[in-house]
Amino acid sequence: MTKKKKKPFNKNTLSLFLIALPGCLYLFINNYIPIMGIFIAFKNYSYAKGIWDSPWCGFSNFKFLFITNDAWTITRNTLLYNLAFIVLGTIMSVFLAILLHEMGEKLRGKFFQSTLLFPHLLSWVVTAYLVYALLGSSNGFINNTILGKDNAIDWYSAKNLWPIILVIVYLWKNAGYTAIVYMAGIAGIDKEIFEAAQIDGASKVKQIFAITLPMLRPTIIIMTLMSIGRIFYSDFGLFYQVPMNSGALFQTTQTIDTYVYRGLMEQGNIAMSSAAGVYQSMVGFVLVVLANFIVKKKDPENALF
Amino acid sequence: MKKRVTAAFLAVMMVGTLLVGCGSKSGDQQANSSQSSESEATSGAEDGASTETEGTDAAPAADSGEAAEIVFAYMTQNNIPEAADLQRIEDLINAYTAEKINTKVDLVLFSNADYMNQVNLMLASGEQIDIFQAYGTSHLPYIQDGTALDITGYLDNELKETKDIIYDNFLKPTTVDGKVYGIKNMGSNYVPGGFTYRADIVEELGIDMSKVKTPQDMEEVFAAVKEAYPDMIIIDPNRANALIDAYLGKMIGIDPLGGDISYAFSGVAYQDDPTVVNMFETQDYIDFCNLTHSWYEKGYFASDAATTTATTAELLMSGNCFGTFCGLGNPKIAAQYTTNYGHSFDNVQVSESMVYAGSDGAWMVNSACKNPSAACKFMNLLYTDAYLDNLLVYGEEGVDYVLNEEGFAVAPEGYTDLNSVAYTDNMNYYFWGNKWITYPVPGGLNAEESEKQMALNYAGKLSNYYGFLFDFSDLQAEYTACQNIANEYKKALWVGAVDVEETLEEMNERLYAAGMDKLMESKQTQLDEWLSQQ
Repeated sequence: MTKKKKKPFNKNTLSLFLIALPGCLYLFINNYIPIMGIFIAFKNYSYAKGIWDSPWCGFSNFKFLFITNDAWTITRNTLLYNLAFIVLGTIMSVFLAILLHEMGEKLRGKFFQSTLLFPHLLSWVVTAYLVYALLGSSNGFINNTILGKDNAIDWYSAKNLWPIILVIVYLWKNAGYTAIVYMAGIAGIDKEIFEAAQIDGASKVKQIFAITLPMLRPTIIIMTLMSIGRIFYSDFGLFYQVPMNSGALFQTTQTIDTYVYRGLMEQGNIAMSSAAGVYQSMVGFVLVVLANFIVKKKDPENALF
Repeated sequence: MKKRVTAAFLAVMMVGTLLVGCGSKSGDQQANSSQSSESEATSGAEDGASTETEGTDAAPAADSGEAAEIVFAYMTQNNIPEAADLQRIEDLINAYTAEKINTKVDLVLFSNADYMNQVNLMLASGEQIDIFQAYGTSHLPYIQDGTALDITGYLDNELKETKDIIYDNFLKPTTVDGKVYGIKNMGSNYVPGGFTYRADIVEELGIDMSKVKTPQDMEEVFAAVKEAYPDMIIIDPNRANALIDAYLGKMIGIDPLGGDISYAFSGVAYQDDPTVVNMFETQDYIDFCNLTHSWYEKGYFASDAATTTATTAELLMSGNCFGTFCGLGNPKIAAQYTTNYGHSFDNVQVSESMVYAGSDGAWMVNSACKNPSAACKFMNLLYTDAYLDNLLVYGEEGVDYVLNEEGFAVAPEGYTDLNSVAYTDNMNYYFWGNKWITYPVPGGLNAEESEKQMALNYAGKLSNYYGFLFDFSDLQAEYTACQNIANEYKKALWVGAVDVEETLEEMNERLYAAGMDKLMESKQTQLDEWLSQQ
C-alpha cells in the first residue's frame, strides 16, 4: 500500500471545496434531510393532527403491499421488468455504443447519435400515443395494414404480449441515451491498443470482445450497480401511460408505483404511500450493498464502495 | 484514520437529525403558526390572489370592529383567470361582504382536477384555509380526524337561512353522532337516468322515443340505428357507468352505501332489505352484464370500447356517435350538447330518480379557522345570496357576462361565448351553495321551468340509507386491494366486452381473496348501528 501524501490545504483546494459546496448543500437538503421523514410511514397520519401528533401505527401501513396475491404480482412484475431492462438494456446500449464508435466523429456519427437519442426526449404521453397509433385495435397501423382485418389482435386486452411490448418500448426510448455513457467509456480507451491488435491480425469482432468490452467493464459494473439500487422502482410513465390505463392488462403491467398511485389517489393516504416508498428504497438499499459486496469479492477495483 | 473520523462524524450527524424529530412536538407546531402570522399582508389590501396555491395568510380579527378575514377555496372547470381578474372579483365580493357580514374573503381557486390535492396540501402545511369541500372524495376522514368543524351550534344563527332553504334531510350525510360537520352543495336532488341521443337521426329514421321508459326499451332504438348506420358507434363507452347508475341504482334501487355504484366492491344493499350483499353476485347485476354483453355482441359498442381513450366530447362532436347515457339532473342537458357539439341532440328519460347514501361533496369549515362565525356567515351567503353566488360563477355583470331579455347569462359584446371571458366559472355552477339562485345559461331552465324543477327536487326520492357513511379507516389495506381489482374489470364489464360468467367468477374469487368479505362485514355492522340510531 502506498502511503497517501498529505495534500496541502491551499487556495486551490479551498476553491475546489467551494465549487463543490452548493452541490453538496443541495444534496444534503434535498436527499439527506428528508430521510427523517421515513417515520411518516409508521404513523396514522391525519391532517388535523399534523406530523407530530398523529398516532403511531407500527407496520400497518405496509400491510396493503403484502396482503393480497396482487401484492406479490406487482412485486414480481417490478422485479422481472427491471431485470429485463438491466440485462437487455445494457447489452443493447453497449452494442449501440460500439457501433456508434465505429461510425466515427464526423457528421455521420453525430447524425446517428442524435437520432438514437431523440426517443429519450419524447414524453411518455407522446410515446403512449405513438404506441397506440401502432397497436390501436380499430385504427392501429399493425391491425389495419400488417395483419389485416381478419387477423387483428386486440392488443390492449392481450396481457401476455405486454412484457415484450414494454421491453421493446423501453429499449427504444432509453438505449440511445445510455449508449452515450458507454461511448464516453470507449472513447477513453487508448487508440494504440487497437492499433497493436490490428497489427497482430485481430479481426474487428475479436477486437471488440478482447479489448472494448473488458475495458468497459468498470463502467458497466457501476451502471449496473446503480440500476440495482432502483430495482424496486419503475418508470411511472412507461407503466401507466403506455398501456393506456387498460384494466385487462393490469396483471402483467402493474408495478408497485402504479399500484400505489391507482389505489391511493382517491384516498389521499399519505402514510400508506410513504410506506410504499420506504419499502422500495429499503429493498433497493439492501440489494445495492449486497451486490457491491459480491462485486468486491470478485473484482475489488470495480466495487462502488 | 481521517476517513474514519469523517465517516463517523457524518454518521453521528445523520443520527442526530433523526433524533431531532423525536424531541420537539409542540415546538414545531409553534414554528408553523408563527411563520403564518409573519407573512401577514401589509394593510388591508389582499395581495396576489394567486391563481396557483398560496392564499395570503391573514391576521385574525382582533376586535369586532375590524373585518374578519377568511380564505375560501373553490374550483373551476373553465380557464383559470389571470391574477388581476381574480383580484377584481375578490374586490367586488369584499366590498359586498365587508358591508353585509363584516368579513373579507380571500379567494383561492384551483382547477377541478387539482383541487383536492391542493386543499390537502394547504391543510397539511398549516396554511390558512377556512372553507373547503371534500370534492370527489369521502368527507368522513376529515370529520373523524377533527379537520372539519362542528357547525351544529351555528345552524340556528349564522346558518339559519341555509338551514331553512336546503332539501329535507339534506344534513344527514354530514351528520355524525348527532353533530353536523358540513353541508353538501345543493345541486340536483332529482336525477333520473337518461339517454342523450342524436335528434336528427331519430327523426330521419322515424323512431318514436315516447315508447322508451327503461334502458331495455332502448334496444329497439339501437337496433334501428345500427341497421341504418352500421359503422356508427351507437353508445358512448365513457358513460356506460351512467347506465349502471340508471338500471341498478335508480330502477332497481340498489344503494352502494357510500361506494361508487358502477364498481361497488364493498357491498351494497337493496331498499327493502338492510343486508349488505356483494353486488357482483346478485342476479340483477348478472342480468345487467348479460344485457351489455348482448349489446356489445350486436355491435352497439365499438370493438375497442373497453380500452378506447376517445372522450365523450370527441365522439359526439365527430358525429359518429349516436348517444350517451347520462343523468338528467338538468332536464335540458341536450340543449347544452347541441350548442357545444354541433349536432342536434335530445334526451329521453330511462329511469326514475333516487339519491343514495353519498359520502362526498360536503363543504366544511376548517376546525383551525380563527373566525368560524365569519366563515359560517359567508357559507350562509353562498346558499342564499344570488348576488354573491353569481359573482363567483359568472363574474362581474357587464364585464364577464350580461343578462339577456329572458334572464339567461350570455357573453358580453365582443366575446364569442361565455368560456372566453376574463373570469368565468360557469361550468361549476352547482358545485357550491345553492344552484337555484344561479342565473341559467341559454338552453338552461328559464324562471318557470326552474320553479317546476325545483319542486321536483325538493320532493326528490331518497334512499332508505341516505345519510349512511361507511368508515373503512381500519381496513385500508383490504379497501385498496379490492379497489385495484375492481378497477381492472370495471370498464370491460360496463361495455360487455368480456364473457360474463367467467369474468365475474374470476373477479369475485380475487375480491374475496383480497378481503372483500371483511369490508362487507364491517359495513353490515356499521349499517345496523346506524339504522338503530335513526
